[in-house]
Amino acid sequence: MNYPVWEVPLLGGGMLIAAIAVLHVFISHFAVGGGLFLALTERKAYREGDTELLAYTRKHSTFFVLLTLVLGAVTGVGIWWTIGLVHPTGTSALIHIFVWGWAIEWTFFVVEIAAALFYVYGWDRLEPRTHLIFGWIYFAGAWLSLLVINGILTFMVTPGRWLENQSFWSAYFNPAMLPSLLMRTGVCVALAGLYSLLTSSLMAQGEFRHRVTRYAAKWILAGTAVLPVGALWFMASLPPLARQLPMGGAAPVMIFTALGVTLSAIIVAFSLFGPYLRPQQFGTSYAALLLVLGIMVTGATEMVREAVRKPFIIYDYMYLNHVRATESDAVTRTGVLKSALWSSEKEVTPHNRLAAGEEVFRLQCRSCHTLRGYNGVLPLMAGWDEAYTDYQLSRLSTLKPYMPPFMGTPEERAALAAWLARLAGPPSPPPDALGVDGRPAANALAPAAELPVTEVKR
Amino acid sequence: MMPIIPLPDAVPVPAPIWLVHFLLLLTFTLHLVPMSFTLGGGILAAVAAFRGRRDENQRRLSEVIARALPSVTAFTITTGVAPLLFVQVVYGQLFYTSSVLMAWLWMGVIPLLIAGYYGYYACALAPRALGKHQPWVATASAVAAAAIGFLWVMNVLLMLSPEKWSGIYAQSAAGLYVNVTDPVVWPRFAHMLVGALAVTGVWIAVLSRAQAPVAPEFATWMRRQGIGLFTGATAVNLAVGTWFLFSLPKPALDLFSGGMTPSLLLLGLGILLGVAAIGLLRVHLWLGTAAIAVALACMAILRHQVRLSYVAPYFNPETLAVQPQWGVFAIFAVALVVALGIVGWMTVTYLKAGRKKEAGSAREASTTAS
Repeated sequence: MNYPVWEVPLLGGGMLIAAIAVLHVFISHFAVGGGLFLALTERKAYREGDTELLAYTRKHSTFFVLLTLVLGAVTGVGIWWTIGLVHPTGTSALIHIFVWGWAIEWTFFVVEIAAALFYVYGWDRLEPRTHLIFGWIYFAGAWLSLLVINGILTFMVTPGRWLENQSFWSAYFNPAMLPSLLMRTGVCVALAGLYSLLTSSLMAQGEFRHRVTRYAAKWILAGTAVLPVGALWFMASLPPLARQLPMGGAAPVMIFTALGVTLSAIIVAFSLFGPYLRPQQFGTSYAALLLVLGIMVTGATEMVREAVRKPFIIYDYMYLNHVRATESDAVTRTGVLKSALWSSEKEVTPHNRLAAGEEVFRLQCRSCHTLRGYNGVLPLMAGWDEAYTDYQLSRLSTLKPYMPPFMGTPEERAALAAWLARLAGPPSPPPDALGVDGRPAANALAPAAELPVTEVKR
Repeated sequence: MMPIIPLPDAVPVPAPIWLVHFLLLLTFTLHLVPMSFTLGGGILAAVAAFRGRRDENQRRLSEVIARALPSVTAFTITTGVAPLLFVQVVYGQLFYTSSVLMAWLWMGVIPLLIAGYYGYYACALAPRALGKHQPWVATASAVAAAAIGFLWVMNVLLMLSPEKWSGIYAQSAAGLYVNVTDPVVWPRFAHMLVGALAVTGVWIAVLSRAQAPVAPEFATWMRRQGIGLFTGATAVNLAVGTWFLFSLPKPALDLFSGGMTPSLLLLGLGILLGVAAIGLLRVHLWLGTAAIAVALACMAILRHQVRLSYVAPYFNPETLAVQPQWGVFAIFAVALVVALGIVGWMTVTYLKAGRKKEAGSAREASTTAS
């Protein structure tokens, strides 16, 4: 209500965020787990006097830095960019609630980046012991950075006592914080193994390759071992509605949950029976397949994590349409057009009905829906006429608990229904609505038909 | 008619506004140092690479810069994150609005940064593989850096022009506004670009010291090049800066008129230090560098004053609700000191180890550089 709305055609703002976020999550968790992998593997190489393993760790560290410092770090900034454009009100709230949290995270980020650079450039330059210390400093910075951001992310779904006391500490130490931290740490360790399978298949040879392949597979098995516990604990910490959604409350969320679990199980099985038990048969294409499965799991689980928060951006505090829970009644009473700062139409009149309907769509629906693209409303409305659309809108949150209630006056709701029904085109009319020549009887589309098409496609 | 301006966030600011402003200015000034090299160094690396086809010193200069660029770019990003956080704390309602109005362009920063950053890494790690394309890759990366700078200038100016917003939004909600009609955009961008080249000159002079033990003649030449670049760019910037100054709208210009105003004194000090640095750099590198650092801080403060004058009719940051969270702030302060300590320790350890190796063997020194 407070900001202008950016209309992202086809993809929708949410999908744009998701596309960048999935890539970022898949790399940034490797940035944490890979740090532990580098430090422990380098230590193992020194202890066992294994020069081959040391040489591999060195090559792997260059790949690691090129991927995490550039694509990993910049896509992280990219999420900040996109959420600020798609959900400015929600982003502003997260920034303001956690100013010093973000600032603390920034200090870890600085250490992390500096340590990564000194580590990768320092192989020949630093004494082994010092080099290893730099590796541990890197990992500490990276994991602490995760520690902070994880708490902010879980705050969005379980803000806990912050809703009552507005205390930073209540916000940060929210109910889902620890289970999510356990889960994410497990994912970090597993991803370290997954990426290492790729680099070892490319960089290592002969018997050593079998050894390092098996070693990498152990990381996947160890990391995924904690996931069932973490996931169940995480689910238990969620509000009741959020728990229901993946368990059948919303079909797509359930499908993504099932996909995430199944693909994770496949990765574990493939890692166990492939690289762990038969490392000699393992190759680059197998590693690439596992990575593709990994990114699919990341996509599915990120979708679920985002979806269980519905209908809120910040649970019980701010709805997905950027209205604070405390203000929703006022918006319904006053009208969304009057409440929104940037609305081009301030009230519904007989002359602006469709334009007002479009404006209501922009304010109430755009943050999740497009018209015909991703999560497009028009395909969802197939067969609905104006009256039925209005009925659906009037019971939005009852019929679909993961959606916010419609916030606006009955006139605004009717205008939105008229505009949507007009765009959706006439539903297949029942026989008695047809005229003698098979065309709709007069008045069937009267409200929309009175207005010129140019007003619809402004 | 009063322009539409979103309300500030309902959550109070967790520190006095002066403290947020202080951190904003401190981290922004810090950001200017690596940012200038990421942009100016990229341009110079590309120019030197082309000239290096016939001139050995230029080729080596290009190589030295190319090797430094990825790491410096990493710090451009890390030091840029902090001021972007603090600006959103106080000016979020302005910043998000202007960003939404030019959303697709603003999103462009991300792919440009990824492409330019990888370009710099390619030039640093695989110059031979790039072969004769290397100068072009460096050029493309430098152009990406400059484009990011231009997008930035467009957005931070649009953020200060609320009177334009509703007109832009009424035209289109597609987020495609290109803010080039603002008369301040071009001189401001030019001022920043030339300033980045000047600071790059100082970077070159400082980096030349690392060359002294292995190639003393080249180091002397490189140092002269750096100081020459600083001198030339600063001279040009006196003119560009004047253009920028007089392009500012009246309320901002008023900061510098009507007697010895603090802003005028600050501007005078900044210019004086910049000009003095031309001589200082020749006699004492670190003293000259320090003078430039102070000049940069002066300019950052002036930029802030100009920003306040722009928004004064609509918004006074001092009116924001404040509810300090000193406990968490203390943790941040400690974390910052510890982080700087660790980074400082790693830097010293790394440099010392390098000197030890150099003393050891020339072979190892060249491996380290690669």
